[in-house]
Amino acid sequence: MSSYLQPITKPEATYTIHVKRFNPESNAQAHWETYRIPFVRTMTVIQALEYLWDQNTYLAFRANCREMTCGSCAMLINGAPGLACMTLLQDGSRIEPLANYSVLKDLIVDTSGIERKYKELEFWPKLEGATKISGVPRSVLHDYSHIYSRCIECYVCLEACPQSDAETTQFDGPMFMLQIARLSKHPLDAKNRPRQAIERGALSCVNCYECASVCPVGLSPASEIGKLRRRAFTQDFRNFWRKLVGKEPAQTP
Amino acid sequence: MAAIAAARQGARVLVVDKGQLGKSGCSPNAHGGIAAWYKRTQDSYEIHMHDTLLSGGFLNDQELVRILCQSASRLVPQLEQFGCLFNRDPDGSYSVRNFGGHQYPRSVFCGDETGHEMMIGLRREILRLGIRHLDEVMATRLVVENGAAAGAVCWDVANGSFQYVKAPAIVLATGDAAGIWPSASERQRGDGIALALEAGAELMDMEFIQYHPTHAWWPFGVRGSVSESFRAEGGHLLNSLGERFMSQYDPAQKELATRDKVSICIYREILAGRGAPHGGIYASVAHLPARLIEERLPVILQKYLNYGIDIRKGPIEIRPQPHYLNGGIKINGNAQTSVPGLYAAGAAAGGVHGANRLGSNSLTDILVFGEIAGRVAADEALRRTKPVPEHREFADQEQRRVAGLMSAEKKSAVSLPALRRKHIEMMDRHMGVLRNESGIKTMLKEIEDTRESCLSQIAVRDTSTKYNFELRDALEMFFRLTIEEISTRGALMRQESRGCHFREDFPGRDDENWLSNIVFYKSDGELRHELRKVSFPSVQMKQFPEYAQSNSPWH
Repeated sequence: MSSYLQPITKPEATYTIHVKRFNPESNAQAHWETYRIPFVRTMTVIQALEYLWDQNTYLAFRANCREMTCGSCAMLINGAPGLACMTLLQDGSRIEPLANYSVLKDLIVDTSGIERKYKELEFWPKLEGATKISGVPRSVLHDYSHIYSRCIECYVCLEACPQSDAETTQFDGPMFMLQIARLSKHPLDAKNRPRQAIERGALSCVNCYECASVCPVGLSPASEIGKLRRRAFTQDFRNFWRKLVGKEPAQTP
Repeated sequence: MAAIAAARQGARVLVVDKGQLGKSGCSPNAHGGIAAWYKRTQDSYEIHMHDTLLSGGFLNDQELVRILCQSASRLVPQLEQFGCLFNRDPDGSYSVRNFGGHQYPRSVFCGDETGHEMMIGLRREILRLGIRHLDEVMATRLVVENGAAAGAVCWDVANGSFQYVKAPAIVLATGDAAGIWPSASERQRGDGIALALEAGAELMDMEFIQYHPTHAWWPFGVRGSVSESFRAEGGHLLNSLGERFMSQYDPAQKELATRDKVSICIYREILAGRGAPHGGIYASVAHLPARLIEERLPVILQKYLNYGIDIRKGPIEIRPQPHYLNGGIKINGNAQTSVPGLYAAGAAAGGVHGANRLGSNSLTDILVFGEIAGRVAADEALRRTKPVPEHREFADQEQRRVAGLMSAEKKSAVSLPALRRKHIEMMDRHMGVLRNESGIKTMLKEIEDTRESCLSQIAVRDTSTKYNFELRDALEMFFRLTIEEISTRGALMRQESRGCHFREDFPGRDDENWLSNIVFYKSDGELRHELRKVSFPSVQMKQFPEYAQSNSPWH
């Protein structure tokens, strides 16, 4: 289960942490358990969980890369969603599974609904005509290497967003909007993504920027939502104007 | 990639993933690039081949290397149809970056998240094609019938059930086995390689484990490799005296020498007492413009900022750590193993990289051989007219084996985490960057002892059926011992130093006796090995007189 953890030869302190545990086969409901951890400076939550695993606690959690690339280890740490692999451990930390999903065991949640939504939203370029990319604006390349390719789909922003609920379709939530923005900038995608964003509830975003404040890799889905909304409005205005006047507006309003 | 290629041929495909699709394995962690684009006019696939062979100590299968280098550039634009987008220069052509051992910059990239970007595209394409996939399901046994692959027994980690998946063609794209060593991302535990051996396939070059020179070492909380792009963009390696020590070991290439060489040089500096305070060595990009770091290395920058360290201002402490097992399942140019119907691709397969892999050749390998394996496997499956029989009894057998592991009488047996930790540490010590006969023999003895005394006593104390990761560790322990044994026996046999395999007692390269691959296979339940001379169908060693005349293990 756990990755190889360097031996903690010189612990600097002993920390106490609380982990919410639930085994569907033996527990009727979740309960908190308290553990003691030998602490070394800059120790992360995932290292504490790995340490516990090595102590035969049979604690179930998902983790793969341990370097904030795979987005597997999202959980609630002291009430706030975050990646266990990059959240520094504090004494008295309370660790529990994400709250938006049903718990399968301990810190593992059922995220299968997310994939269904990916399919529903057609998160791949809709190819029409050209299949080869010729010129790409510099700004798009910048957005890809600095924003879109960096979203690790860890679901942390979905948890923090007060307007989204992973199980309802009123507003899909920040991560989905960022993925829509990703496709909207893809040179081969022919689907009207700003329109899709509006249909999937982009107008419900209240610009609270909670998503940006929790994003482990420092992205701002809220800003992307704002851009998508502006682009959708521009499109709508152009269509409206075209119908009214019979020609294109002179300038982008 | 194999699943996509197979589905395109019209085959019915099932992907069995031990983790979650797109998040498991180590491809998302590959930061650097895909060696695929011959942008400079003087560059070509032949020169890429030469670089790969020189780095691999000429142990590579030249046919596989030729396919790798010839096919690479065809596949990158396909990834963009799946939704990826790679960095471009102002003229619209792909930007390329240089990696250690490549003569010319030829690696296509997206920031320093190339592997992740690639996995985004592949996952989306799998969803688009509607390919079925089973997440968190582990294959525990391959079934061979009448000498050909017939199916696999799979254990569902989420609910503990065993099922038999019948399949006339199976592609093992299970990654390598670097997780047998203390690798940071150690999900590569060699399951597929061990399964293939049991099924009758041959394994080759298993003694060559590549240590990545720049793994994050300190602070304690930082994990994972610091991408080779760190060196490629101009990063320096410094000892405690502040010297760029690589200029003494390799004045021409300096930090951009191949990984095997840089790792050993770092080890030597550390052993000479010129290491950093926590047992690593310093790496720095602080002399580069801050803008370039922000533009080209955003992930590393942010990762360290999380721990209060700004790479724009000062050095970081790194240390070579296990990264990639160069060997694996022996395949031919069609990605076929020696068992009909069984295919292998990517890091699970051997022969492409020889004794040492070049940075960014791995993502290329995944794409090229993934595509070939999927396509050929699908063709074979579709050609098959006889129905594949159902073998539920094999799943029942596996279920009984697991019940034995979890039996109540064995409650006080071996502690699995402790056993695993001991083996990982010993592999690092005796089978790491520097090896010698006595160390290797100590490791072999430990493996034999574990087989004799511990294996029968392995007991899973966690009795739950859902997400029983202790059981997963136990099942992996069997795979681990297989890989450890083969790797260690190979290392003992190879009495020379070449690429990633450095013997302190045989420090020179010995082309007279050791231009051979050590191939392991099972026959009548016995592990056997063979030395097979490397063939030189296209590139000859004498084309590189400087290399051919020296006895240095590295290029």
